[in-house]
Amino acid sequence: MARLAEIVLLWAAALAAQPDIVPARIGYIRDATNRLRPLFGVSANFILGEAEHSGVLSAACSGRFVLAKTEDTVMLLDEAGRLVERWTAPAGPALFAFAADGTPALAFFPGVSELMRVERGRLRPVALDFRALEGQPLTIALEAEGRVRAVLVGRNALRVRSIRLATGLVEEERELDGAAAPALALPDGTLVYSSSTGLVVRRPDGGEEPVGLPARALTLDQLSEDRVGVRLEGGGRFALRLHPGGHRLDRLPEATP
Amino acid sequence: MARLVAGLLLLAPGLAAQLQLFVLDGGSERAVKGVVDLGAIDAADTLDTIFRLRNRGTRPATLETLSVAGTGFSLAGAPSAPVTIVADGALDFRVRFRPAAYGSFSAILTVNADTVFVRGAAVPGPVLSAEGAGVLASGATVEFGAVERGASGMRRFVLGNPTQGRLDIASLAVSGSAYRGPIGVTLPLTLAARESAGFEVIFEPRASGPQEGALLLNQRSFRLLGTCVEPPLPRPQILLDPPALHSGQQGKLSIRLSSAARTSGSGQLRIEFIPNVPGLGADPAIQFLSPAGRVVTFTVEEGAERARFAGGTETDFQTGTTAGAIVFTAQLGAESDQVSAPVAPAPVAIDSVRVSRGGGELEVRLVGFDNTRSISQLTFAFFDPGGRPVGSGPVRVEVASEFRRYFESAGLGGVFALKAVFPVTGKTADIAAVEVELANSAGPTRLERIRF
Repeated sequence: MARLAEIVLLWAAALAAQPDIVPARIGYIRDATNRLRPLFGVSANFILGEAEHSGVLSAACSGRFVLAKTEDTVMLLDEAGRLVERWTAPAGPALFAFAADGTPALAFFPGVSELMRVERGRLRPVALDFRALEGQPLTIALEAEGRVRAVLVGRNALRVRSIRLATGLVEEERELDGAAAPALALPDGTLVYSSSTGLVVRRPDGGEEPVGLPARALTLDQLSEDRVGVRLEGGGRFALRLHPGGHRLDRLPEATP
Repeated sequence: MARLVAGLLLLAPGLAAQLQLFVLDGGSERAVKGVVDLGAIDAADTLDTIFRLRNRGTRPATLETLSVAGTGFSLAGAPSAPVTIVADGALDFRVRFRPAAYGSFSAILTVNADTVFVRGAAVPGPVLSAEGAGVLASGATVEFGAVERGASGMRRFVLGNPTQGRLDIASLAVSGSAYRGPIGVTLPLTLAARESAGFEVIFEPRASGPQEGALLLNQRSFRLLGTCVEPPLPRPQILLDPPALHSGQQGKLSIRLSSAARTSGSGQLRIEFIPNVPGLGADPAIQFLSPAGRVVTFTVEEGAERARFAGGTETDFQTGTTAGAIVFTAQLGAESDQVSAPVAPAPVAIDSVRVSRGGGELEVRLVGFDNTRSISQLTFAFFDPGGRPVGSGPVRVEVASEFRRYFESAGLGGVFALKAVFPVTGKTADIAAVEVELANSAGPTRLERIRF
């Protein structure tokens, strides 16, 4: 290598002048009473922050942004919880998807079967008829090249479909063997879904890794860039951290109502 | 035993129109005419008869004299004369008949200047004694005291025949679900002259609180009274899994009981924290998880050998990110257990590292914790794709004061997130890896080389 890059040692002085040491904020979590709370800490050491919003029906956090749905509003918050945008939305819960860089991308409203895209600070409808897809979407994710990946629950199985947003054309479809609801599609192509023994993490390369659970999963939510919130049947919430070297399951604190 | 008797009260002329004597029977009044017959009872039994003196006039009347004269008779619950009885008012009193032997008895009941002849009869009957309480009058209460639920208490009784003849005991029984007996006698029972027979009554309550029963002897009834108390709860013993704790950890706690619980109950489990360095401040992550907080309740079922928390026999907790001692205290009734688990000071632990390239800079993000809250130095060493060091060597930064200010204000224990931005001249793609070292009072932490 003819010329190496050089590190400018001015960093030390810059750090001393303006150190960037902040509380370790993992993301956001919707608690059992539909309040949205920041989640601080590190693995196995979680701290629930004070509730910042109530009446939240759905929420997802990429680590950079938070999308939260109340009865008739979608809120976009930044990683510190500051309100960035607020959009009027159809009633009921919502499914959210982020782009790979953590920016908000899609919102699907099951009550009216309407998909919307976040574009230039607005929520715009996408002319894609999910009713024609034979199945109820459980989760959606934005894929590269203008496609949405949706996991749909049909009569007997979960199916993954990649659909071009511009045309509604289903470009890829496959059945998930042994998969059951709930399911969560993440921006990097990872898919998490319920199985008879707990959860399965399906990596973008197709490799699958089981994750044992003490009870059946009821819901899966994106808590941060690499953590999935798992709510269990009969109570109990866990954070599943997705890591190439192995996944980690820790119990989450449960706020008292 | 209150009985209605009727007799005639010979009223003084001045009072004849005003005071009238009645006997109460089952709540109704019957005017007294002539002789009052109280009836027949067992010798040594007691018969109370309630009389009512009613003022029928429109003016107050005064009771000047009230007495009963005769062997075996007395007044009970009678006011001290003189007593004024308002118009339309009434005054109740009891005439007690307690014959010491069998035979016929009579007495004179005097009300002011007037008299009534009262009489009663005592038939041969047994004398009942309770051990420690002597001879029992009819209606007397026999105390069994406090007995734990599941245990039993016992009182011994003696039936005696005080007469010179034979006595047949026709009826001897115990009522009340908490009582059992009589034990030690078989009916029909015949007692010869001056003979006695002992028996026992068992108090074995199954429900907490006062428990009443009765011992029924011929026509006489004796009140049985005992109190059922819950057995004490066993001593709780705290078990930690794992037994040794360190920071940034989740563990499970269960409570074993010193013996199978003989009663059910609930208790409280607390978690407290004593930092190694006084004044370090709070560490909110040291808590139970379901529900989140420093206090959880647990229950103990009768027969159980382990306590139950919401969801099972274990409860989860976090050890936080501060060195010190985590103290668990379980309180169950009057019993308690306490375990103090030390959390040793440790080098900085890193939970995640992310390195990203931007336009002319590298950004390193570290998330971790320092349970001593004493980070003093960071060192970054960059490497090219061939593994050779980049630049003039590792970048060392003294950060003690920055971290101290952060820990003082954050209130999150020893958790931190650090972002370090390194301006780069040349291509950032020529930098392929970084090694990070952090030092605190417990020693250095060197992360494995991070390739990006």
